[in-house]
Amino acid sequence: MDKEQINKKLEEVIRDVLPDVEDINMTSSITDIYGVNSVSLIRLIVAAESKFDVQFSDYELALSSYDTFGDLAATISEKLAQ
Amino acid sequence: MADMKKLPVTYPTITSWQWHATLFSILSDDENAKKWIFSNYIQLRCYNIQEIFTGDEMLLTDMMPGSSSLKQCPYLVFSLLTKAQIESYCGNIIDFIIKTIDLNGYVYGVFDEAKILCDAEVDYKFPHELFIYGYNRDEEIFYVGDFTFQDHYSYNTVSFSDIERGYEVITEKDDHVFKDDYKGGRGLYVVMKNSDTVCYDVDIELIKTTLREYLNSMDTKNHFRMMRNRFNDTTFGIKVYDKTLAQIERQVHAEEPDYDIRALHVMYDHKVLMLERIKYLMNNGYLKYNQDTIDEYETVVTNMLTARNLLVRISITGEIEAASRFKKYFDTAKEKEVCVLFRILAELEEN
Repeated sequence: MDKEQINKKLEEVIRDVLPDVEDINMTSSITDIYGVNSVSLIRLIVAAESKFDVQFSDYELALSSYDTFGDLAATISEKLAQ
Repeated sequence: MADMKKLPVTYPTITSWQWHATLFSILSDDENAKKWIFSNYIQLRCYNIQEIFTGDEMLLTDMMPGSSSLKQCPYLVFSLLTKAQIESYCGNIIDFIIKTIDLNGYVYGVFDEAKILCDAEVDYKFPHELFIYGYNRDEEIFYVGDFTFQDHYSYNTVSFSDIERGYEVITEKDDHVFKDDYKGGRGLYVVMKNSDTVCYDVDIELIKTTLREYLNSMDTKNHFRMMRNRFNDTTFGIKVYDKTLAQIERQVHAEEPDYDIRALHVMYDHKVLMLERIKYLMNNGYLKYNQDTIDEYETVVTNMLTARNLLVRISITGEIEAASRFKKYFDTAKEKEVCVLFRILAELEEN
């Protein structure tokens, strides 16, 4: 799956989990711009695991690991490549 | 009176309880206040109580001096005003809050947040502490801080009319802030910043004493007699790890699991603050700078954060088999923390 496909699929997950989010920019701050917090991030990760058939470790659930949705996409990409 | 005023707030370093989030919203970035903050918040305690709203049993965990911090902190000026005083001085709650903010006073007290959150009339109450730090008369809104509006601590706005409704319906029985002060009646706290001059220096003796008491899980009630110490089954210090772990295991294996992350969040905040304390003591010459100690303590913070996030994950997915991993994170955090803090205590005692 290439970067564009991952971003597109991740956008679907974001819209599903965070229905209030309108324009998704993969490089904007997820906390400042989209109000993502530690709980909503874990909801996103759980939904992404199911969508992409990947598994995040417990240590990868920390909000501080992801500044942007692009960081989340990059982690998914690494997992898909393994 | 001005049309709008917002008193300064900084998103708090720790958010586990409303009283901490309030104090840290006002003082988080204040260099003088750090002298008091880092001398306190060392001892942890927990006990089982009945949840105010649901009646369910909950493990209440907190850092001492807990909810007394707003009254005890010398870098705040604290006043308690009864409902009768408020009405006598100002006639109504809206004018009282606006005048208080005009005089640089933050307002804190119990409001029925069910009335604030729900457009429709509801037949239940959700009495909760609200922190009010500003107003806008044109828009008829107050600026507030609370956990209730989103699923984490956040700053929001509430209309004048919702504040009025949320205040009026609270009875003496509902006002747990006044009840916890052993006071009858009801009312509000007014809190002002008082940090222009140093009135309290870093208290190394208190830090040493409470570190010792924390590490040895000693009963610290007598140091904090101003606090709510009405419970006999209180667990102190490092043993709070065991109590919390047992509580989580009970929660996740219950027939109808109730995932309450609050105890874990307090423990995580305790580690965040301890790490900041260690860095502060090093940067200010109370401890020798040692990056290895900082790195070691960071693993304590990481493991507590991971445990908290794991509980959030289980609450979403229901994968209770993952609960077996809590013990690993708790054991790692506890072992590292004991090791680092004993070393720090020894160094402080040598100096």
